[in-house]
Formats: sequence, structure tokens, C-alpha cells
Amino acid sequence: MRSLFLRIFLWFWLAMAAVVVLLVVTSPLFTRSRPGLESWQRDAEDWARGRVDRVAGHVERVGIDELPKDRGPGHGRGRGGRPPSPAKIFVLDEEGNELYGGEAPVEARDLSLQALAQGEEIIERTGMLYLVARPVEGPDGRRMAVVAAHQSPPRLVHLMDPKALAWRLGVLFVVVGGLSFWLARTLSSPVAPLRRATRRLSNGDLSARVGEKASRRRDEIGELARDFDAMAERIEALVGSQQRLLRDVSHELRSPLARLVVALELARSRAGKGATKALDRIEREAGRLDELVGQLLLLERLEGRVDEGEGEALDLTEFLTGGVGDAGFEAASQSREINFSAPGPCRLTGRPELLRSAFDNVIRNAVLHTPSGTTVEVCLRSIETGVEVVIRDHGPGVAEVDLERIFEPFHRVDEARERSSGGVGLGLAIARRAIEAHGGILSAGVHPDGGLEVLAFLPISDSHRDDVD
Amino acid sequence: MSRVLLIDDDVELCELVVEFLEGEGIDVEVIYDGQTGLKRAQTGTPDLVILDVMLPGLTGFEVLRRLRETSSVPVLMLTARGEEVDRIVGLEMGADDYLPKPFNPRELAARIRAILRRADAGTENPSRLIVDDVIVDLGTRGVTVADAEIDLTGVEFSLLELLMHSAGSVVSRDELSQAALYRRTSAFDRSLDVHISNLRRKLGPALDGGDRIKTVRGVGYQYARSRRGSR
Repeated sequence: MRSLFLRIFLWFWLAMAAVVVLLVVTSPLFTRSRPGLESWQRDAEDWARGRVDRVAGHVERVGIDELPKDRGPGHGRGRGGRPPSPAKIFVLDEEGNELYGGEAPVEARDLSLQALAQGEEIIERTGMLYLVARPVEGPDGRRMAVVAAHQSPPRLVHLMDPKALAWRLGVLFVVVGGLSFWLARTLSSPVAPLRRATRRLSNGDLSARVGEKASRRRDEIGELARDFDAMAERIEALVGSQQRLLRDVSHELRSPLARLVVALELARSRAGKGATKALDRIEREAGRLDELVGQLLLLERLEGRVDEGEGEALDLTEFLTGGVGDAGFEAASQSREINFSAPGPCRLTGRPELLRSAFDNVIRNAVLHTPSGTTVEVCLRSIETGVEVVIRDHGPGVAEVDLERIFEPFHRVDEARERSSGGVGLGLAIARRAIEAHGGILSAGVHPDGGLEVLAFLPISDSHRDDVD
Repeated sequence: MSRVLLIDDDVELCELVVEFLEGEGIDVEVIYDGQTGLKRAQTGTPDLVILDVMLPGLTGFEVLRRLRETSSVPVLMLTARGEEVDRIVGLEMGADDYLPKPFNPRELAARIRAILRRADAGTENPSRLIVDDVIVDLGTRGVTVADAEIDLTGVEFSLLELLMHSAGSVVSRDELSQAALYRRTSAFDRSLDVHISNLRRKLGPALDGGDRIKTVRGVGYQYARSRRGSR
């Protein structure tokens, strides 16, 4: 995942740097100045040499005293004329004392001593000065050095000096880097909180909002943040009202049922023997209504992930042993059996009421479809990432195309049989959502020897893993 | 003042319930809102209060909470929502039991009778249970721990009585449930555990600093005798 920030940053930085470099390289100043630098150097050398010749010649013949007063930066042109940039001539003795030209720069003095020591002309170019030093001998034998010193070259030429150039480009890169960092930051910073808010919202935290900082921006991203918050607000309100509706519906549906049941008992105590059967029937239907209401509400809650309860530590083996035991009584009354096998205790974190719904529904479903005299097999086995519970019956199974459909609400494979048992087709839908609420998977397949095989997978966190045998 | 006070805003249901209960020989007074119901419960002295969770104005939980500030009369909660959390909250707040709507009125009658019977039994059988620093007076139905009197609800009292009677041995969940809640326990019924937890809290730690009531996994609970002292 290439970071947005990184992309903006690098792009901008490199683009700016490329533009600057391109400009510099193709600029006529640059292309012209290179020769400019060289021609300056040539001129400087010519002038310096010329001057030094003249002064040295004079000094050798006549001595120091009659040198023309230094009238400062040149007079005339070319040889002996105007130097290409401010320049001066100095004459120094062996001890470095200035004999002519005024105060000489340190570099000139050093060079003169060096020239006297070496006994020959030395030319030196430093960043700021161009120097020519020539040792001479006066008529009195006195040894002296004539030094021509050019001061700093024209600004631009100085700029083109590689060292200075490199340094300046370096600073430029850093500054541009800083700017592009800031730009990338400003653009990509609201994305992270936006992403976080979106993720929290989709995970069920309806109070998730992007936050002040991003929403205050006046650009498109700010608008996006504000739109998101408005959307989250609306969803929270909708779901909130839906939750209230759920609770009210539950109350509203169950109130008449409650009255019905009490009235029924009153009727029983008053009615004669003949009415018993009908009253029993009424009681059964009332029970079905109640069951349906309960299942619908549970399904609704699981769908919307509305009730995120807390899990608790439980032993799945113990749990299923109990569940199978209970269902076993009922099954036995219909000459069917349930068999449960597990390697040992299996600890995980879960919500007992949901797991009970899930396994109850699947097991009862199996008992319903397995023929009389057969046994429903429930087995638990641990695998690398969690635990699998397989519930197998010996019934007719389900067609391949229906294997997924049976988990849809109100789907019934065999209308007649299921209706007579009181089911409404919600059992497996609830079971699936309950298992999924644990991060697991519920699926169905057909056993090669016949019958339906329902497989529930539940992940086990690392902390529990060691407990599974 | 009848022995049973019913607080529920469903007028029609109350009518039916009262008719049924009267047929069973149980006298019931009905109040339709929380505020008035609370006052009646506090001023009259019912032997049992049946309280609906969804009430207008003061909710059932609020009524329960306020009632518990001054009275430990047995309270049976009726919950129409049937949500697990409602039941636990009610029990933790001090309700003795709950009954989800729709309920079978015969079962309601049976429970009412059992609770009333328990209230009556107090005066007939004066005797005391003593284990370490806890004294349970079966006559006055009073309990003192280290000479300080504590307030227990009817259910809590029954549980303590049973546990102390068999102090040092385990009492099964089923037995406890039958005695205190008049029904068998089911695998996911938390009521018993909530009542035990409330009881533990009220009793406080044992003389040696440990738990007075020990949980025996998969079986039930046990009242532990202190290591020091009598055996």
C-alpha cells in the first residue's frame, strides 16, 4: 500500500528539483557564463601578467621609489589597461612588509613569501581572489615580490563556481523538500482520520465521526469530512430509531399475547371437558407466535450487529454436552438419538445465549430430518485456527443449489414436515448469524453416505489455544 | 391491604390476572403507574410486589431501586422485552425473580404461593443457624454477621439458610434453585448466580479473609467454615 503522503511528497519534491535543475542547465546565462568564466580568467591572467611585467621591470631597473602612485583599479584597457574586475598591485619585501600598494590581503602576502622562497612566479586562484606573484631583485639587490590581486569575480561567475553551486543547490533541495513535506502533509493528513472513522462506523460504532480538524477545512476534503459526519449522524439516528422500534414491537406484540395466555387459563377453568382440545390448540399457537416474535427479534438484532454483548470464557465441550443432552430427551421421544463426541475440553470466549440458539437450531433441525431409529452425530474437533463442530444427520440431505439457501430466513426445504413441527424457517438463519457474530462460519454440505452435514467453525484466540486438546 | 401488590400499566392484563388469581384464592391490589405503586409499596406492607419493567413515568427499575432503599419485600419482575440484560439488571438491583411475558398464570400463582408461604413460615419455626460469626434467626428471618445486622431479600435468605444448613458440603445448583426460586435451574439461567453474588457482597469476607461461599464448578455452591474455630 503506497502511502498517499509519500507519493505527494516525492512527486512534488522531485518535480521541483527537476524544474530547477532544468532551468539552470538550459539557462543562457549558464551556457554563456561557462566560457564567461574562462574568458574572465584569461583576461585576468593577461592583465595581471602585463601589470606585473611593467611593475617588475620598473622595480628591477629603478627600484621601488619611483613607482607611479597607485591610482587604484586600473586606468586604460587590455594590457596595462583596465582589469576585468577590481584589482590591485602590491610590492612586498622578504619579510612581508608592504612597500607599495597599501595593505595587501593575507593571501597576497602569503603568496609573495612563497614566490620569494621558490624563486619563481606563482599564480593562484582561490574562490575570491586571483593572484600572480613574481619575485624580483632591485638594483640594490634587495629581493621583493610583485603581486597582482584580483578581487572577487563578477557575481554570476562566482555563482557558477561548482562548489558554491553545489552548496546552493543543496540548500534549495532541502527547502523544497520541506515545502513538499508540508504540502503532502496537509493533503494527506485528513485521510487517516477519515479512514478510521469509516472503519469504526462499519464495525458498528455509530458514534464515529471524523472530527473537528478535518471538518473545518474549506476544501473538498473538508466537505467530504462534513458529509461523512452528516451521514454517520443520519445512520445513527436511523438505527437508533430502529432499535427503539424493535423494543417497542417486542413489547407491543407480547402484550396481547400475555393477555391471551391469561384469558386462556381463565377459559380453561371455566370450560367443560369438550373444550380442552381446542384450548390446547390455542395455547400451542400462542406459543408459536411468541417463539416467532422472539426469533425475529433475535435475527434482527444479529443482522444489524445491534447488540454487541460481551463474550465470556466457556468450555464448548461442556456446553454442547448439555445442549445435546437436552435435545436428546426430545429426540428420544421420537425414537431418534443424538451422539456427541469431543477430544476433550475446549475453551473459548463466546456468548452463551447466541451459541445456544445456534447449536439448538442446527441440532433440532438434524433431529427433525433424520429418519426414525437413526442417530444424529455431533462431533467437535480442534483444528489449527479454531474448532469445528460437525452435525450430521441421515436424512435426505439437501440439493446442491439449496445448500446456501437453507440459511436464508423463512426458507424451508420441506414445507410440510417443518411446518408441522412448528418451525418457521428462521432457525438456520439465526444459527448462521449467531456463529458469525463470533467471527465463525456456518456452512452445509452433503455427506458422501447421505444426509446433511452442517459445519460450524469458531476461531479461537491465541490465549485459549493452549487449552484445546 | 392485600398481601400482593401488582404494579403494571397494562390495564386489561391486570384485570385478567386479578380475576385468575382471585380464583386461586390470592388477593391482589393493582396500581397502574410507577410513582403511585412505589408509594403504596412503601406505605402499605405487602408481602410481595409484582413489578412490570416497562412503566410510564418511573420505570420498573427505578421503582425497584428506590423501593430497595427502604424495604426488602420480595419483588417479582415482569419483563416484556425478554432481553437477557434486563433480567440480569433486575436481579442485580435486588429483584428476587423475573417472569417474562407472556407467562403462564398458573406458574405465577405457584410462585406467589411459595413466596407467601415462606413469609408465613418465619413465625412458626423459631430456631437459629449459627456458623462462625453468622447467625441466622429462622423465626425473625434476621441475619447478623459479627453482631451487625444485615438486610437480605427473601431469596437471599433462603439461599443462605440452605447453604448454612449444609455448611462444609456442596449444595447443588438444582437444589438451591428449587428452594429459593421454586424452579429447576437451566444451563443459561443466571438468576441463581446473581443472587449468590449479591449474597456474597452483603455477607462480606470470611474471618480468614477468604470467600464465605465457594463456587464448585459444574456442581453448585458451598458455605465454607472458617479454618479456625468450630468444626
